[in-house]
Amino acid sequence: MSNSFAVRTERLVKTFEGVEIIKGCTMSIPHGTIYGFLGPNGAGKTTVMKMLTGLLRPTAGRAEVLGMDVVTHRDQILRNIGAIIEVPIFYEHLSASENLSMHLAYMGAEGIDITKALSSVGLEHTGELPVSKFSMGMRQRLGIARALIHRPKLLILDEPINGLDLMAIRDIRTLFTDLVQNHGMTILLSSHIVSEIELIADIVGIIADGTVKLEVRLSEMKTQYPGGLEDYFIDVMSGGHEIA
Amino acid sequence: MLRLMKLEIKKNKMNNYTVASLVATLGLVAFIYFIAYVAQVENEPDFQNYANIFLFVGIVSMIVFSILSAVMYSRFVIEEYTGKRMLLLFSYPVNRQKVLLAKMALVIGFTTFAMALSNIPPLVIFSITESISPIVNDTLSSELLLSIVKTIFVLSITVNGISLIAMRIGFMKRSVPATIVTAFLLCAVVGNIVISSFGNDVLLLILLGVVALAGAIVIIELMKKVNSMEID
Repeated sequence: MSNSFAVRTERLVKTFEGVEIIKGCTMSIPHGTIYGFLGPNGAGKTTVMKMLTGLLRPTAGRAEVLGMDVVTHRDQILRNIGAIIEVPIFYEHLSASENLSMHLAYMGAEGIDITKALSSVGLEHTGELPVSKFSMGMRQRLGIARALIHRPKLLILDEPINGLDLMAIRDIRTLFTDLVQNHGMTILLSSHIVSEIELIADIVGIIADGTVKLEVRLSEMKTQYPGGLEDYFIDVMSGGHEIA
Repeated sequence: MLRLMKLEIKKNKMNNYTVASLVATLGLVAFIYFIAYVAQVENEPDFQNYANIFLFVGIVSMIVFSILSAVMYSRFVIEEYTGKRMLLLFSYPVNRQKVLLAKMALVIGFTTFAMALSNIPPLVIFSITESISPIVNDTLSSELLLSIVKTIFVLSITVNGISLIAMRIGFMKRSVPATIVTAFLLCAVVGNIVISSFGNDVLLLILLGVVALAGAIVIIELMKKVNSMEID
């Protein structure tokens, strides 16, 4: 598989108790792009992301992250990525900065400016407040800060805007764009909110029933579908396009 | 490994366990006088000698620290490897087996140290007051004290075996109450064996060997398991 991709999967399969959940999923994410992973609930977005982050082992097929096999190079991959999978989990009795400090220690990346990371997501004034007292939006923002504080090459974010208000969504969108354009990061971002993906993604991958149906550059899609991503998504889901 | 243990200390409230150990120690001091007085008042012959009094206090401390250790394993291991916390733990580029080993080493170290230390005050304070103003109509000998120290040493190791087995069962059932109840039941069995083998070094050594072996098997088996665990 090619090194020009930050993520590349080939015929990836995952079964649970004999039931095939991911069915030959093939996807490619070039470096320095924001990849919007779109799909209805239960399509398999989170399962694919878990395989990319080493939380699940593929049953068949291959997956490479940053040129490394997800099965044989799990720790090397984890050192170079930041992720939010499902709901971000924290040490509830610790403050935001203590949680980030713990994270950096586990990542072997001590000494990074925690205050700067917290202010990048608007949490600079949380002080010693334990995470257990945080609202859902604050937890989500802290999850994002944790995912990017150790300066990963790739961010894998499962529904990262869940629980965020409109202002926060806009701030996070600006942050993600900045990370890709000015810091060379690649972002894989899942969502079932089509409009959000349309505003931020360079490439869209549509997953349904455990397989990526289509991958398309948003700029190309817009020339064919002036109505936007929503029309395109519905068209793909209703079988208007063949599998890529 | 030490770094991982320090991180465990940082993310868990160790103060709670230290305070619990101190309270247990004070409780044991009170308990030893309670047994001695009650035996005198009730004219209970079984507890009118130092050997049985010290042994009983040792067994009670084994129960207390087995449960404390089981609670620690519930927090350090079961809650981390059976719930959503596993997702966080497995997101780090750290050898999973080493993380688990660090957790277990911390609990084993703390329990052994706390149990051994908590037995010293009741033993020393009671021995001193008995030499000044005795409650029990018996003689304290150096042989008896040595035998008690040996038993406490065995019990300190045994506590770890008991709580490791209890933790494994709790891990299997994904249940904190199952861990604590198992620890309590195992204490009942081991406590009876210790009582019947008191003064018999060979039997104590066999018990020590069996429990240590069971604990080692649990550690090795669980380390293999966490390495292949998935989060579905």
